[in-house]
Amino acid sequence: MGVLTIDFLVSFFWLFFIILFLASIVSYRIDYANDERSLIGLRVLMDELAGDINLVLAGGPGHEMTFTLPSNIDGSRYQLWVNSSGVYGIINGRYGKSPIYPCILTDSNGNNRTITLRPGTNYKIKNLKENNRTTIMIEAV
Amino acid sequence: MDKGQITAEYFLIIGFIIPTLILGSYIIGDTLELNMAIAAARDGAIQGANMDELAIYPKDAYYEYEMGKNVLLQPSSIQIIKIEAINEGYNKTYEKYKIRLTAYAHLKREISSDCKNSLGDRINYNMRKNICITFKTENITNDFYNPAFSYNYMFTTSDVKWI
Repeated sequence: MGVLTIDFLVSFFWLFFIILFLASIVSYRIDYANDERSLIGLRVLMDELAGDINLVLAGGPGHEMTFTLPSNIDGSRYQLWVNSSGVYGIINGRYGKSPIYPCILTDSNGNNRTITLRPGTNYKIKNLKENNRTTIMIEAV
Repeated sequence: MDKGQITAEYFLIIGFIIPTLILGSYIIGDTLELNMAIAAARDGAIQGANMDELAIYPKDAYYEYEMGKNVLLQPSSIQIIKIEAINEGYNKTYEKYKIRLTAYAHLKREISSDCKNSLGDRINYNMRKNICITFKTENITNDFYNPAFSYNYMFTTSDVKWI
């Protein structure tokens, strides 16, 4: 039959308690790291979208790009919306903004308003010339 | 072989180590607690600086910045240089030793002192919060974790020094 010496048992329990203590410290750090990762994800996403809108604007009439929104950021739900001054986002109750070059921004119907973007959707960003003025249109593909 | 055995050597070694550890822990306990608190404060300062860097804030702060401090809505690069701890003696009200923490940080762009204060406040808040979380003393302080408590010390923060 298998035999466990008392030496082994005592040493094992010491080791067990040390690991338990370390795990409690590490778990807090992991939570913080995960939280921060989603914030970084949102910042990167907002900056990428703002950068693409600026590129389309700088490219002149006829220029267009496709932008894909992920369905979530590191497992966290998020919201994103765009208006003529910037890209705005919320994740885990925190808000952020990436400014864009001021422009006239319209939805697929040509209405100049704040456009809410749905996660997991592809959007086309187009530079159009309407009534002698440059307009950026964002429409779902 | 009889059941459950422990060797005399092992018993002697453990018997020596445990009392030595207990005795040693009393001697170095105070220093350890203060070191842990300063390490927690440093961690907190880095967390606060990270949040400032990403410029993604809780709702109230975000709308406050959108109204008057738009520059804070753009990411900035902040480096925590050091955390200084000054012992201000025994506080009779709280029956703990009072430690004043000062963070030294570097910001890689020029912004107004008012905006720097807002960034610094977040660093200080996270320093105090992290101390309270480390010593599980959130329930004996206020919403701003000011002052922050460990077992034998209380911590306050002064304005971040930008260098």
